[in-house]
Amino acid sequence: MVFNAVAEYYHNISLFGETTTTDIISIVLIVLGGFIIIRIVRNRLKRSFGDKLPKSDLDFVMTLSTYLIYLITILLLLPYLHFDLSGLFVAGGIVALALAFATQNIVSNLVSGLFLMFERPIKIGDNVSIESLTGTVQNIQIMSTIVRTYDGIYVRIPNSKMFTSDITNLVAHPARRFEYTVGIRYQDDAAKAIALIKNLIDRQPYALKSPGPLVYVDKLDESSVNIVVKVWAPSLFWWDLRTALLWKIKVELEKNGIQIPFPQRELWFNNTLNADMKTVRPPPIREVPYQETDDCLEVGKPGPGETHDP
Amino acid sequence: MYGRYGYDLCIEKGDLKICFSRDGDVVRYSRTLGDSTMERIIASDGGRVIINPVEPLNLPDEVTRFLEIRFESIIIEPGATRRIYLTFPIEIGVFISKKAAFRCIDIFSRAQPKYSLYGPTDTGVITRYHWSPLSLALPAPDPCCEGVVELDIVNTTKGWVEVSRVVLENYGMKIYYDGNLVSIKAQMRVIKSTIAETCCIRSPIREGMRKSIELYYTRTIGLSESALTFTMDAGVH
Repeated sequence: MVFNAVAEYYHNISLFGETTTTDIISIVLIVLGGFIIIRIVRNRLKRSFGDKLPKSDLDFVMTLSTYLIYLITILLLLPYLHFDLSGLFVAGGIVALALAFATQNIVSNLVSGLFLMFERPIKIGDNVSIESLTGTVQNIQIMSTIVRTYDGIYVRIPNSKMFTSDITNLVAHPARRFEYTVGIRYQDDAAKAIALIKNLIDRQPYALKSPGPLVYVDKLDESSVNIVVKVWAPSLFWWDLRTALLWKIKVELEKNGIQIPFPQRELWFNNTLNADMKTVRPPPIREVPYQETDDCLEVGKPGPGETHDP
Repeated sequence: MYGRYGYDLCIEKGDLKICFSRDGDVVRYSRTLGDSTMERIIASDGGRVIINPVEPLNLPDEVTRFLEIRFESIIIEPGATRRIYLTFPIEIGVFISKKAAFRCIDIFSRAQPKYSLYGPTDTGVITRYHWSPLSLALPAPDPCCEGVVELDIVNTTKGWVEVSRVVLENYGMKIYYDGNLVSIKAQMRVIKSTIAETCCIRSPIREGMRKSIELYYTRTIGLSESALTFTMDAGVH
């Protein structure tokens, strides 16, 4: 009896306009319920599909589910907030215009985010280049995309900017090509060098058999005969190969007597030099032996007429 | 070398040495092959060691799901079925097991891995590449280095087709072994002059062979057989 009376009393207390205590309690419960359901759904999705779906797909499904539950929660809240949508429609024009101006960036990001999610020019884990930024996509959210640069820096890019920027996805295709230019001396056998390089590339697991590598003399340069080496590799492993292969080429060539020359230039004089070049010697290099420094040794300022020399 | 053993195990074959030894409460595993070595510490009171060939798609890293075998081209008449034998590279997996739980602790191989691209550079797939001689009778390669694929090529088209490669997917790659042979039984149905469907068949090529533990089966859900067909749509030659 008393409980009912108390409940009735609190039910009828109006806090904000028509919103009563019961409404507030309902709102809190719905919000809490929404968060709990989101947590449960995300955990369930992770447990059920964590090892069966690629991480990017799983994150996409989880994000979509989360926003769907947010939407349902908001729709459930509206009656308790006594939010009259018809009123909004009546006042529509001005309010909508004001809202549109106020939220144009937010809406722009939101819509861009949705387009990015469905068009999917990038996925989580892709190596991308966006304008001057290069890194790995960490997350694609509804308003922004998170990229971690190769230096480990966190960068948040608004989706509207992402959508209008030139995005280069470095791993969208299964294979990519890289190239080196290797210079050899003019007296070296270019055909032999090409054969050695091709043979070396053939022994590298990540250098693709097909499309095959291209190795050819590209230029007769000032100081060297330039051989261009173009190699296809799996997109996810090309960097490993690129960083390892060049030194191996250098070692392999030198092992077979083919040198990579320094830049050099021959000078011809109109007049004969009046010097016997055989007698010209470079100045001797004085070798100074390593000496232990004595930290305790105190060297004072020399007095007049004194030096530090013994 | 392949088989099931206890923890007291030491195998030496050429430059390969595999040893399990008890060290107090733990078991130490060590493997040497050429320049590569692997050591593991296993906390186990009792279990089994299983050494068997696994899908050759793990070294030096998991790069792809596809094995591509190129061979001397064969021209097949319309409507015909021809059986050929090819070789494939062997990777050997060392597993430890307790009850129904398996764990792969090491994979090694004597074969030099090489990768390729099947299809165009934008939509193709990376494949583990292997060149094989074409045999019409069952060859006998060293079971520690190479296995045998018994491939039935079915030409369902109304024209002649020239075939010089087959691409097999890892899921559903059934490998069988005995003391002398490691094998896969596969089928390739050529449905257009440039398109074929390939699948592995759950059957040994001779009696008494034991089925290998499927590495890619243990890592994922069981798929239906129909989902394990790969469509070679970038040519068969």
